[in-house]
Amino acid sequence: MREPSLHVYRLLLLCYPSEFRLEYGDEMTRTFRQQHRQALGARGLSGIALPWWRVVTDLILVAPKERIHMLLQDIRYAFRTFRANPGFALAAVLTITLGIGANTAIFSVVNGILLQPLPYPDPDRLAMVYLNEAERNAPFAHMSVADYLDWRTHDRSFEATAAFGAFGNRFNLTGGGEPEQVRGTYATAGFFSILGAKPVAGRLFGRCFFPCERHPRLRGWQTLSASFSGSWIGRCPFPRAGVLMDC
Amino acid sequence: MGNEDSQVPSPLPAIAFHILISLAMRDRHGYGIMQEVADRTEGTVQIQAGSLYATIRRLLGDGLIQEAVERPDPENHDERRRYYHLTKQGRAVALAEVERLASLVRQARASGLVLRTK
Repeated sequence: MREPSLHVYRLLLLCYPSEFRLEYGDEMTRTFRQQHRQALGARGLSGIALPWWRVVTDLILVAPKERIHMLLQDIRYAFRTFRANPGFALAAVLTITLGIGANTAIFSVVNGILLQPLPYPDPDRLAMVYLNEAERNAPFAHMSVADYLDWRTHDRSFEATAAFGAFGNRFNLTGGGEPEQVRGTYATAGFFSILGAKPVAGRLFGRCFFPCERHPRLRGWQTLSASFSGSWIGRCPFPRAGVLMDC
Repeated sequence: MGNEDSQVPSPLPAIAFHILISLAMRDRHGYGIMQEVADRTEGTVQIQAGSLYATIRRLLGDGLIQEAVERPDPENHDERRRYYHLTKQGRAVALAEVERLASLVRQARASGLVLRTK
């Protein structure tokens, strides 16, 4: 017989469950070989169409049934084992529960950090640059303002750059009633335009460089989150505040 | 039938019945069963390998057939082939099916469903 037919038949056998294939695969292949030889000898190449048609229709009818049969057999066996040994069943259920929980937790982190794109326009064009101080063994060292300015002057790789305080700061908010400590950070003028953020009210940074509060020309330009500004409506101390929607 | 048929679905599936009939004559391997069924039915029933071995597996599980130890055709046998043998239980189940079908035919005839002879 022609070997390609046998190869195709062996491939089709993969549709059957592995236990069934291991038990009867060789016999089925030998049977197919004999049928194929007979058909080829009797009617030539035109004669093998019908045996192939029968093989395929048989496979479509039988393979799914066998898979379901094997599955039900496994389920029945599992339940019998559980009933005979409840302690083992409990341990198995707990193990599976913990496994699923751990997997879900890890996937949530991987999905959020690695798989999902950042919630900004053209996230693949955004890059975070760190200062690597190898002699101090500090791969993510803080960058000074002077370093940043120097780096920005000589940068030929990026369309735009911005710097921000990687760690949040706390600020004392006064002038609108009860003083309040709020969380915030410093950022340079291009920060929001690079991220494509649009204010829902007011305007974002003017032409300023950080830190806003420390520079006399820049005092007064602030950006607030929507929830924060909502709680301060009517008593906002910032006359030139821009409001961003919360993430 | 005794308690043997309690685990066997009734009526017996057609392919299973054909296999039992085929093995009632003598032990055969899978391909031999396929050929015998095709010859006996003049080609009207062609069991395919998937259906054949799936049914054989169930019949083995139900104890209606078993793998034959002796080779019925020692001169012409292939060492790799497995031969199947009809068990007592299998014979009883096949006879019960024969009786069921014969009873059906009797009832049909009694109702006037009679084939006209040429």
